Amino acid sequence: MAMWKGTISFGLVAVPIQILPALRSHRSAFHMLHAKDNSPVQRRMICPAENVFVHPEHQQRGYPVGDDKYVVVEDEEVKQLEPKRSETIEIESFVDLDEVDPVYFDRPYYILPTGPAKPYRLLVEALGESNRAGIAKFVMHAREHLVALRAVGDALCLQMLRFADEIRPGDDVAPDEGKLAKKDIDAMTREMKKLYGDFEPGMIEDRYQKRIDKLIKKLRKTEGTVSPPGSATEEAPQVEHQPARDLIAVLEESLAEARGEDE
Amino acid sequence: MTRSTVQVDGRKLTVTNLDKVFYPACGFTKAGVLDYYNRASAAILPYLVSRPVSLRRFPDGAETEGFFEKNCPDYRPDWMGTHRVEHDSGPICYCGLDEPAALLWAANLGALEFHPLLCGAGEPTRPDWMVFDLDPGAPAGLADCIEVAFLLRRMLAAVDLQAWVKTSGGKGLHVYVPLHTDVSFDQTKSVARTFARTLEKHQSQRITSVMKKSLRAGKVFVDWSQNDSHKSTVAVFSLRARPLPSVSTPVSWDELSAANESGDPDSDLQFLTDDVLADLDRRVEIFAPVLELRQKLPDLD
Repeated sequence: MAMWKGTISFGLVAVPIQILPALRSHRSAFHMLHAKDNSPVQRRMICPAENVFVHPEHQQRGYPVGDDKYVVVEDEEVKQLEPKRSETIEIESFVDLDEVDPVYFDRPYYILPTGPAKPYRLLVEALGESNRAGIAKFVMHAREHLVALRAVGDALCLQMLRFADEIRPGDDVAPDEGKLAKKDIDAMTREMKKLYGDFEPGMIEDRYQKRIDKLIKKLRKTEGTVSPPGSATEEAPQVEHQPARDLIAVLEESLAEARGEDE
Repeated sequence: MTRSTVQVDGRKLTVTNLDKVFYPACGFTKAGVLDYYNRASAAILPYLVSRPVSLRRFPDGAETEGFFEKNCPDYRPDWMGTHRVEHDSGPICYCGLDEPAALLWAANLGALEFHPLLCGAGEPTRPDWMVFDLDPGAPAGLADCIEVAFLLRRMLAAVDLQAWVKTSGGKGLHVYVPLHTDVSFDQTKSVARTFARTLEKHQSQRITSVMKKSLRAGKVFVDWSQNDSHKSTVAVFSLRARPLPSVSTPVSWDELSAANESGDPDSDLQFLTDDVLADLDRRVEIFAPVLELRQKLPDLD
């Protein structure tokens, strides 16, 4: 489960920790099937010139430098440029959490202690109480990341941050047409106040996914499942009103008669 | 915007842009649409009254995208009611198309097509009809649909059910099996699926029961899945949004076989507004049993 193991350090403090993902996936993606036989189709790298499947062994890296122009680079050469994996998360500063605009927040992870729990708990408590976040740079998975360590409940959260140049300033995109009058802003605020409330994360739920789940459950019951040839057994539909074999037999018989008359 | 006020059965109705062309291929205007629905109202209304009906609106004409409107707009006239139906996804208040004025009000909004659910508003879980939508995938055409319709008729007869047919107004046919007895959508859907799959097994080269477009080329798709509490089918006598103002029109089994033998079913079975109005009483007569004949689905146990 651990994605990275190492030490958080600043000043005289060193806390051995591991990093775990904080997001759990509750989405199930569709697989694309060959409609003819229900085999799941695969993605393959194709050479358009020869229209053949190109095995990974016969692929190489090319860096585009213009129309149809590439510089070929060996995997080894790229590897040498990758930043070296950090052994520590070296905190550079502790900033007021309110100063970090949420627009910088990327994926969250959790940090758990791998040694004694006490220094970890002290750090979480102190971060929470001071409402501060520890800012650090460190290398995981061959990428350098800017992160904020902050308290989420009793746990320490490693919040990946986006680099400043990844985010377009809001002023660049906002409309700019003259000054706004104070009384108009006040009127807008009064309108908003009617809806002031507390944020409850539970109010956000993925209704689309819920509807998908419901549909799948219903279809599994009414339509059964399909499988590629020679694999798992297909499930028959379990509808309440499964037509009797008799009905099918009667219908087939009526069609057989039709065929007989045609000949 | 040009407006005028008309009287429909004592209701005052404002109609707009009467000279706007709705079917550019032949210059058929909005006035033509309203005139058709006015003169055909007694024919179509029995299939709309007290039913949940979705409007398929084309405010900019039949060759534009159009959109389905299920919930009746708030700006409906105050004399017009709605039919509220609880669906799994929440309640929907359909327009109450219960009188000629309501029909014309909707048509004035560019509702060329009327798509009722297969049940009455009072009993949203009991379908009045079992429906098969025969939809040909090119190069299959109307001639193939006619043959499938006759196979379907034969199968239905084997379980003592009678059926009636209307054109889709396009390239297909709709086969209606009136029920008007105690039955559920689960039952009609299951039985319809069994019919469709048996047909597919019988002539897999020409017939499919699978919706997927890529599997339909050259085959007649027997759509059984419309037998569902939230699915609608275009009403008989409804206009269609096609290049010409064609109408989903009742046809007799004799007409179907004659059209097949004539070799030009596409023209024999294309009914435009004038064709339908010229022969309205007979067309109404052909489909009349669909409104009231009580039939029981075959025993399923």
